[in-house]
Amino acid sequence: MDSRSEQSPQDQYLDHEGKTVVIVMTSGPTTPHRCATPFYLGALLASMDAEVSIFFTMEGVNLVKRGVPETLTAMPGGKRIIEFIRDAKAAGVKLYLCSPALPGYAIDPKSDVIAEVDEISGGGVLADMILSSDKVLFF
Amino acid sequence: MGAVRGCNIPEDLSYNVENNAWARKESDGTVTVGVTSYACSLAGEIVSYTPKKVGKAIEKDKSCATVESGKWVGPVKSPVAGEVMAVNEAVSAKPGLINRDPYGEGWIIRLKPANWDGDSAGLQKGAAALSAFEGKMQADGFKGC
Repeated sequence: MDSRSEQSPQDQYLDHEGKTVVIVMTSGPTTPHRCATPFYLGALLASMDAEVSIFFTMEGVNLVKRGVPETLTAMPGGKRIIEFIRDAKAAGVKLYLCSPALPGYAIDPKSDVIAEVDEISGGGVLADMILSSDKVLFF
Repeated sequence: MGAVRGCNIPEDLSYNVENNAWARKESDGTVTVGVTSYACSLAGEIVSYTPKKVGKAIEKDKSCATVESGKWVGPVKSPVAGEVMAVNEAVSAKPGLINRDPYGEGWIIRLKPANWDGDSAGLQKGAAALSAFEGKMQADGFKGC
């Protein structure tokens, strides 16, 4: 058996309750291979009791434009991005969308944004998250 | 032995249907927690199991372990509150046991319950559980195990 697949009792955890992580999602449909793992990682962190926020900005805003995540996959024939987004939500991840980025991508916040987004926020909210979170990840 | 859309759902267990988790009071007073065959079908082959440590207090409906398949990761939310008494070493070595025997060898965690009577009163059993799973599968567009 490949010993790398085995786990030891050290693979247990106490908890990470109260830890905060913000994932800043700047990748979008022009680099689909970068668009699934951040949601998987967010779901994993939330499953381990961290409070996780994903903030979509720059080209990342296109990932929550209606019609895009429903068809986009990171790999040909793979799971759709909307399913990764829903898994992250089910694990407790909150989704924020950068309002100043929307006009540049011709996204109408009232009609073009998928229902999974929790909040449409200004850059100040992102700045506050970056300064106050335990970990900040950029993808 | 109950079944819904080909998924085995034993009628003697107590379920949190929304979280796809079950609980069983053992004769020694501990509670065994696991996931349903429906959850296993959705996740696919589970490749990683990370439980909370023995001694840790778990709140009702909070994560008691994290499980991963190649395409899915998520928490196992404990249907009842309690203190972790045991984690499943066999599943640590072979996480796929969860898929193969979700109600037996593939159990997730054993707890010393904090309030079994109170917590389990809100869980679903028997025919009501089967009916609730059918409703959830319908809502999820799930075709079957």
